[in-house]
Amino acid sequence: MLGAAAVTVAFFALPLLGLLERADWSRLWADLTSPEALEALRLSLVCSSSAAALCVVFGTPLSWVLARTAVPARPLIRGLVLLPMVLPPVVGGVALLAAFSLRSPLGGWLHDTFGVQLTFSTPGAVMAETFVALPFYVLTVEGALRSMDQRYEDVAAVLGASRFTVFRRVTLPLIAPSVVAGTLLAWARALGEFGATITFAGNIAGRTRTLPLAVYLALESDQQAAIALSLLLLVIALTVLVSLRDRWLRPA
Amino acid sequence: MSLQAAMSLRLGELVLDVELDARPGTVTAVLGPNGAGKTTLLRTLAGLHAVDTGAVTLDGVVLDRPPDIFVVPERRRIGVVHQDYLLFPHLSVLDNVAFGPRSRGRSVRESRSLATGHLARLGIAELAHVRPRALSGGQAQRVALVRALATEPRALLLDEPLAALDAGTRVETRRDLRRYLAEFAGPTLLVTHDPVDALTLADRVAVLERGRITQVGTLAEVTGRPRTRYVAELIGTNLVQGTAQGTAIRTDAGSWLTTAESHIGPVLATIAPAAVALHRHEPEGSPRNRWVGTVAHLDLLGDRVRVQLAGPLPLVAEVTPSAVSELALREGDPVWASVKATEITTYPA
Repeated sequence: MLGAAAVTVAFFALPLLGLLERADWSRLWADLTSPEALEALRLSLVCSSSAAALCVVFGTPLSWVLARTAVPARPLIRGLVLLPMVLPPVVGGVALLAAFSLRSPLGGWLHDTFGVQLTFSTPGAVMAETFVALPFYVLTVEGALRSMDQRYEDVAAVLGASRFTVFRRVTLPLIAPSVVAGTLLAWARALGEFGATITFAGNIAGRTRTLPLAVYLALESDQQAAIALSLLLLVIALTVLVSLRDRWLRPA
Repeated sequence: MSLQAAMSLRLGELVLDVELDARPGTVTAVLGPNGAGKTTLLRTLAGLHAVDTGAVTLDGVVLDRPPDIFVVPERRRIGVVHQDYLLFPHLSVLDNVAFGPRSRGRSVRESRSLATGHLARLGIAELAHVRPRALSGGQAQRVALVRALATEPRALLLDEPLAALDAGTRVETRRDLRRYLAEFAGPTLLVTHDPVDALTLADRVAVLERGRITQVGTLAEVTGRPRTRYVAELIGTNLVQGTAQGTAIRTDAGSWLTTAESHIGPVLATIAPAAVALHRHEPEGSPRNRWVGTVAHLDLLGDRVRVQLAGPLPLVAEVTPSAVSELALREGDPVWASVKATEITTYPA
C-alpha cells in the first residue's frame, strides 16, 4: 500500500519537480516582475476574487435549496450545477459564447439595454471563472448543510427566530468552516481557469489575460517566462490547498 | 388555559394517535418505551411536524388544525428543552439564553440583560461567558431550561431532560428541576422513559405506547391499575388479562384464576411477584390457585430472586435466595406455583 501511495505521490510531484528543474532561477524575479506578468497577476487576483464572491452570493442560496428543500427537479439541478466540473472548460466557454455573445438574443439584449458586453471583457472573464468554480463551492457548502445537526435550526425556530434569522445566526455560523473552505476552493479553481476564459473572454492584455492565459501566450515566445508564471500559479494554489486541508476534511 | 391535543399523524413507520390535555401549573409526564413516539409528540406540539388530522390548541388558540390552520414554531410561544440540550456551540451561555428574546424582537442590550437576570435566578450567572462545550451535563441542562424559559413560553416541553446525565448529577438536577417547574405557571409536558422522573416531577402521567396513549391519571392511579404489560413491568408486577365470571377468571391464555373479588366481563388482574409462592410438590391447604410451570429464568435482584415461570400462567415470582436453594430451582426445572385468591387485585379492563 505504502509503495503504491509513494508512486502516486511521485506521479503528482514529478511534473512539479520538472518545472523547478527547468526554471532559470537567475531571471525568475525579473520574469515575475515584468509589467506583463504583474498586469496578469493583478487581473487574475481581481477576476478570481470576484468569481469567488459571486460563488458565495449565488452559490449559498442554491446550496441551501439543494440541501434543505424537496424541489422535484433536484437531481437535474445538481447535475446541471456540477456539470462544469467534468465538462472540458473550452466547451463551457463555447456554451457561454452561444448564450451571451452579441449575436445571441440574450447577449444582444444585454448590450442594447444596458450597454453591457460580456464577451472579450473583464466581466466576461469573471463570468467564465464563476462558471467553472461554482460547483466546488456548492458541493462543499451543500455537504456541510446536509451533515450539520439540523435540530439546532429547529431549536432556533422554536425560540422564535424567523427562517432568515435561523440561517444567519445559527446555520451560517455552524457551517462557517465549510463556507470558508468552499470559497477558497472556488477561488483557487477560478485562479487556474483557462479554457472557458480564453474561449468566452478572449486573451486581451489588461482585460482578460489572466495568469494562465499569460502562460499560454508566453509558451510561444518566451518559455522561461512561462515557467516563471507557472511556478507562481503553483505556489499560490498549493498555499491555498495546504491551508485548506484541515477545514476541508473536518466535518461541519 | 391548557395545552390540548387530539390529533394523529403518520411519520414513516410511526403512527401517532394521541389525545392529551396538559393543564396550567401542572406537570404531565409522558411515559413510554423507546420508539413509542414521545419525541415526535413533543416536536408536533412545538410545530416541527404538522398533524394529519385533529387539532392542537394552547390557551384556547388553535395552533394546528388541517387544512387551514398551522402556526409556525416561531410563533407558538412554546419552550422546549431537548434531551441533549442542543445549546448553540458558537454562542456563549449568555447569548444562548438571549437568543429567544432577541429573535422575538428585543434589542441586543435588552435581551442580554434579560438573559443575565434569568441566569442569576437559577444561580448560574457565573457561566454567562462560558461556551457550551465547557459546561458539565448538569450545567448544560440548566442553561437549556433557562433558554427555554427566557422566551416566556406559555407551555413547556421537556424531552428526557435528565437522560443525558450520570446518576450522581441526575439526583441533584432532578431536585432543582422540580423546584423550577413548580414556579412555571403554564402547562408542562415532560417526556421520559424513567418512572422515577414521573414519580418525582409530575402530577399526572400519560403512558404512550406505539403512538397511542394507553393510560392517563396520577402516578398512583396508573401504577395501581396498570392496563398494559409495559406499565406492569415498569412497576415490577404481574398483569393477567381475562374474562371474569364472578370470582373465577378465565385468562386469555386459557387457564383459570380464583379471586376474592367478584366481577363480570373482561378484567385485568395484578399479582405481586412476592405473592406467588413456589413449591417442589403440589401444595396442600388454602391456596385456591395452583399450577405446574417450569423455571424459565432466574434473576438476582437485590436480596430477592425473580423467577420467571413458563407454563399456563407465565408469571414472575419473587422469592428469597435461600428459598431458591431449598427448592433447588434451576432453569428448566418443573415447579409448583400458588397464589392466594386474596392476593389477586382485579379491576375491569
